[in-house]
Amino acid sequence: MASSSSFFGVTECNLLCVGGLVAGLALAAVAFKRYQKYKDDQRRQTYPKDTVVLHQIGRGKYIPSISPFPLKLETYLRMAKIPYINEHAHTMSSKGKTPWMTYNGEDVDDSQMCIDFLNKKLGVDMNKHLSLEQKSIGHAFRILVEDHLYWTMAYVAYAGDLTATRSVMPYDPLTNMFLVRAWTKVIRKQLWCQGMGRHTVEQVNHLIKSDLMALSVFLGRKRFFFGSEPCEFDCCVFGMLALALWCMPGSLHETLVNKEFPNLKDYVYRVRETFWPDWNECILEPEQGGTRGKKEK
Amino acid sequence: MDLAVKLYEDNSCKLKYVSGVLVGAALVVVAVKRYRKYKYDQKRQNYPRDTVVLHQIGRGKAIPSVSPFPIKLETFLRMAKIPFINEHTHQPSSKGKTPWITYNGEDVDDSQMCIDFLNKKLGVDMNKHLSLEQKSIGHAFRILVEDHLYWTGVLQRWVYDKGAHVPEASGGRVTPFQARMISRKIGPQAYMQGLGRHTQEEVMCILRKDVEALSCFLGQKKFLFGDDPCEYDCSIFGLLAQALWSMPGSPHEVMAKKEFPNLKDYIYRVRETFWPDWNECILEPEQGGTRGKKEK
Repeated sequence: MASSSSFFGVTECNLLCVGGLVAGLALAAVAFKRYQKYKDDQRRQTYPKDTVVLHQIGRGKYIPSISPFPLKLETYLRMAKIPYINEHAHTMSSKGKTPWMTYNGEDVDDSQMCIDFLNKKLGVDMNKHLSLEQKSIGHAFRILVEDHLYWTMAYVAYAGDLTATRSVMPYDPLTNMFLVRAWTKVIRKQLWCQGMGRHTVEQVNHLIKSDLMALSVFLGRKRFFFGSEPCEFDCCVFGMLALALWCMPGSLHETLVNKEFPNLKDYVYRVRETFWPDWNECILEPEQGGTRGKKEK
Repeated sequence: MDLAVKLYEDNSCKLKYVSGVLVGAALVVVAVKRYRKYKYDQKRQNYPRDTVVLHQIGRGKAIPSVSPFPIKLETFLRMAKIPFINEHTHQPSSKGKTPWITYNGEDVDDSQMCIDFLNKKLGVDMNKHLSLEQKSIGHAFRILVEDHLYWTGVLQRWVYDKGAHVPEASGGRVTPFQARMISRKIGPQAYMQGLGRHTQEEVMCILRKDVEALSCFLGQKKFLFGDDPCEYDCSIFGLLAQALWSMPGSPHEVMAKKEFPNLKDYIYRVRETFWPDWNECILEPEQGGTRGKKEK
């Protein structure tokens, strides 16, 4: 009987088997990716013309999105009366962000860049009634909300006890556990790099109060951020404050918006009534773990 | 030679020798650390009472600091006429940040927390002439400058320029090797923060919007809220001064110097008001600085 040659105990036959398996797996992965791309291209061809396809994560239990930026972007589309459809998926943009959109074959990511793109493309200007000074103030407040208040919310949701965060996640328990764990790791690193993660809880609480007080004082008794007419800046302020009210149970954000700054609470409800008359249809049904149809506490 | 051969051949002797060297090295490290702590505690005991000790990195070539936050904090101390001394050091605070302060034995880090601490401790309020609404607007602009415009500067300096201008701007205190090492760390940080995910063109657009908002709000006013300066002027000055004096050839410099002349005038005005000794706060020519030289 002829013996097969070996290299440190591994026979040629073993090597061929392993090589074949690896090559097979690689080919399967390539084939799968190509198939996914094919399906993606097929789906994109069915997108209606002159309609924004808003790619965002799925609806929430208490709120149309557990992230403020899809809420901001969708509020803007409703405010500007731009036709759109939602595509609920966890697919990220090329920059690894969500939400993002497709318009007549063109992809745009980052909520503010989507708004700027549509403003330019469609000649929309929800800020046309504002003075230049008001626009500059609005810009500053948008940055306050999106690049500071947002991070205090990420800190509260992900840097400490995750119980409240898990309770608002609209997924089954296993997915919930996996996603929260994965997001927590990433967001804690983001918090450290951004700087908010280097503060103590007490210091962050002080920052939360400062930001919400600034918003409350500036809003005052006005119906919207700059008077009786809404503007683009209302979309991002609403997106962030809605999360505080409906997605951060027991947090300082919720307490402050609900009790200490009642004008902010009234404002959030006002924007919701104005632009989200179908709010109830945009949250999950009880069978899916949502609160659609249930009376608000 | 015999000893060396013996050590090479005798394993148990070798082990004892290596352990001895390691223990000796560890003891030396502990001793050096303790000695440093002792010297540091001695130094802290010499800090004058009721005087802020401002720990910040060293002076720059053409600007008192190549970081905006020490300039913000020092401008505040000057504006509020709070007695202070500088301790130029690379030692960061417990949060790994600089600048930080010591006041009567108490350490505080983060420039805004230092200001809040001193406001409370010393009953200072550089915003007392502002209305509540103005304070809310000022707060928003401070965040715009420190949490958004700041990151466009970080990207420009450390990612697009790869730290190339930092050694010169710091008067040689940061070596080209250190600048390259820092640059490698900053890219991923900026990506995590969010702004680093945009293209350079997109970041420049974001930069322009921020600077336009500042310029528009400032208008023809002397300071952010009129004729009297306030606390918010300190942070805006701290950042915009970088554009003028430590970011040569950058879009930030071009915008501050040429495209938005009211911002340029504002920066010079704040400098003249609170930094009459600016020239003494930058490095001498022998140290790589521009002290005494005519500005371009």
